[in-house]
Amino acid sequence: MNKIQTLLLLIAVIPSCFSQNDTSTPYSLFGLGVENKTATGGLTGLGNTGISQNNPGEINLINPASLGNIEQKTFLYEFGINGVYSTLETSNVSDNTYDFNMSHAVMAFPITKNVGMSFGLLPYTKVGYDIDIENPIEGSTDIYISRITGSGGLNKFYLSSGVQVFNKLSFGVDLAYLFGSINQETNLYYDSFVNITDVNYYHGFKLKTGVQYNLVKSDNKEITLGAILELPANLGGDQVSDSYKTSLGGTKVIMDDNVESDLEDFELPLTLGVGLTTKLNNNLTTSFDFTKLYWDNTNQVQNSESYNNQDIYAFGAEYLPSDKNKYWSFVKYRFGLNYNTGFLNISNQKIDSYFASIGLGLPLSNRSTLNLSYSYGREGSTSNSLVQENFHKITLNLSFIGSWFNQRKYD
Amino acid sequence: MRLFLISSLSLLFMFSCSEEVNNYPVGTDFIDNDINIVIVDTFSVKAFTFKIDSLVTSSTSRMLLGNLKDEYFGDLNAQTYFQVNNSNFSISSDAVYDSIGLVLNYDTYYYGDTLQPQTYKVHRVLEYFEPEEDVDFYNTSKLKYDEEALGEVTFTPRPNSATDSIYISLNTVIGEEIFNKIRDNEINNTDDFIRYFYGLTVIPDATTNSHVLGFNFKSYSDLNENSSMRIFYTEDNGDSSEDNDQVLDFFIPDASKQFNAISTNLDNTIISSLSGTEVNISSEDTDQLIFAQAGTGISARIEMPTIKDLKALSQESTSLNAELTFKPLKGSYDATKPLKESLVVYVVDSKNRIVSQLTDLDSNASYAVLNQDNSEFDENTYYSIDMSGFVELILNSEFDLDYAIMIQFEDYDTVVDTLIIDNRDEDNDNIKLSVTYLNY
Repeated sequence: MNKIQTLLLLIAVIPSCFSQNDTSTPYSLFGLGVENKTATGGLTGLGNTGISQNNPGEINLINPASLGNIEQKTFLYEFGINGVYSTLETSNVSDNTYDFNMSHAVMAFPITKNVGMSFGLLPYTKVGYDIDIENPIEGSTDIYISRITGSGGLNKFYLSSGVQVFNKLSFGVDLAYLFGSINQETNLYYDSFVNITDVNYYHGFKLKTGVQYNLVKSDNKEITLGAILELPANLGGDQVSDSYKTSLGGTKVIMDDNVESDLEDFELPLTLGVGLTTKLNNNLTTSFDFTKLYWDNTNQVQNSESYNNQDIYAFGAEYLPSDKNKYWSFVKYRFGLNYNTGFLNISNQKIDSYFASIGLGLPLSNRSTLNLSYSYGREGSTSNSLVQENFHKITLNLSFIGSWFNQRKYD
Repeated sequence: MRLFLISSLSLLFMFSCSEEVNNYPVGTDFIDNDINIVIVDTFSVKAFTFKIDSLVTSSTSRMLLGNLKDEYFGDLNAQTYFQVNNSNFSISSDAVYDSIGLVLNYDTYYYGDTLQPQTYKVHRVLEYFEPEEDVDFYNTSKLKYDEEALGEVTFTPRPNSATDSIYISLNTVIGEEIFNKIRDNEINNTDDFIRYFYGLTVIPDATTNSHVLGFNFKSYSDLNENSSMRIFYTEDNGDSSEDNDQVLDFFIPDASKQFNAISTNLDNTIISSLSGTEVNISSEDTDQLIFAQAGTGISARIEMPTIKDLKALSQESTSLNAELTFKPLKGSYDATKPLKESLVVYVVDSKNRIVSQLTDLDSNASYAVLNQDNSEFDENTYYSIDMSGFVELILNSEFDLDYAIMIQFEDYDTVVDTLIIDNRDEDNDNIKLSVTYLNY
């Protein structure tokens, strides 16, 4: 099969898959929604570390410099799906929800020796909430209930390239185009039924650069340093509003019909990240990442919430048994921890999160690998009448290594 | 590999959906909700009384007869005109004339004190039975009639029985003249007859305060439950065992050949200036009362000039509901003058021209609907009108519409009922408009 056709098919099909995605967290109300935190390869099992990792057979979206290390005459592609089961609770209610999503579809291939390239499509953020609010009616003792439903999210198409400048040093650039829509629908009933739908379209480019440096490289010991820099980006927004009311007798009256207006740009912050990966011996590799997002420097109007600088700490350890005779000896065993301060501050409460993960890298053949991970984590807090989400997440990433330059005789 | 790709893609399709999003009470505190609903009932309401110049009163199929005297509405006199005719003009030459009379058959409508006696006088119309212009007669229309009455009756009505009727003996000379002309073949067909006998008018005595009654009629010969002029005669058919009495029935040939002239004298009432040139009388000049009377065209007009100010509140807003309430003046209604269950409401322009009947958002006619309180103090008897269509009309118009509403009786061309609307602020009895309004 022509691989170009496969790519085109994927690009055509994937956005429609994304559009069915749904999450159920009230926190997706804020900003652009909840970020897709699933990493490629086995990185989720390693606590989402990856700034200083450059496994030649895996695609690493965290640092594009890793592409300089890609194997020659190969073609990597990978799909990821995940399932989340979560419990949402406040101080007095709790509810369970589950959610399946596609996390990414990406490819990478070498261009020349020491230059690699990657592109792909993945959900960037997701919005899914459904909130009932009781409101008083001014001039009356009555109340009415409005149901506010959020859906949608942004997608990311990226093109990245990495180059190994000399044996120890790699640079990478990642240009991403973010696009999509976030919808908010309000339904209320009082004498008449009212529906107000705002569709907020956002789009914009984001540029990330990365560097990796092999401090030590010997047969059984490697120390790699990595850093990333993501430039602040502005996403332009347009809003399309539709609203109508329906009387008791069923007559529908359009109030707003495709009213277009400009939205204020959404600003994405400057992001800096550093990482250290140490291969202690042939069996054990550990990684530490620290990432800081400078939300304080963005200047956007907020309501009850505020955006604060965000710190992410990540740790991962991977174990590969040395006995080469059994299948389970080829399996990579992973463990990870991640703490994220979050950028949201609601009611003077930081919405932070953490998770612990374990993972397996299962070789299916010498051409494909299945990376499984399970993470358990928590986001938010029940104090200050906020919401706490406890989640169990399983990710499943399938990666293939193809031979790009070996033409088949018959097709 | 290809198979694998395709199957994994299909798998993704299936996977990429989640359970129906649950609805959480959580999150209410941090949603930014700029939607609010306000009930506004502080609209300025201006109330007026005006009088429609003339109402079409022909083709109503009801004769209205009677006289009323009222503190607020002055004197009302309902007089009726009608043509009579027959289709049978054959009387044998040996028939013998007996008498002539007018039968008026109750249709059960009445207004006023039916215990009072009343006198009706019947006069012969002296001009051809046709309107001055067009095809309709109005409540103000007149036809010349003979000052000398053909007959009269004084009676106390029993209007609740549709099988009952009033009989008025008419001048026997005119009866005999008609009889002879037909018998002697001077009148052979309907045209001959209506050129000779134009019609009748019945005039109630204008000096009493009594009642107005409704009478029905059929456009064909029928001696039962019908109002008609009848000539009684005997015909000897040679068989003494049979009844020889005969009746020649002069019925009203068409509903358009009958109309009611309803005159009103407003002298010494608070709305006396309606007879003059003034178009709208403000409730401020009429003790904070406004009036409606069917038959005479006296109508209530209610202006709500500040509805359009809602538009200034917010660009993104809409009305969800609107209701106008008003109370009938206590003491102005009782068992003999009951309140109607519903009243008709029209949208009128600044010159009281009817734009349309008031409708709700679903384009159904919107009426003033009675909410009756049967308690001793009668504190809660009021009418309410769904004004949502009106508010929508005003708010959505590109023009600055000076529309108001007019309140009348549904069958205002066939009744003489009255309504007094209280617009006094004390006891919160005034006319109120309440609009439920959404800002978003």
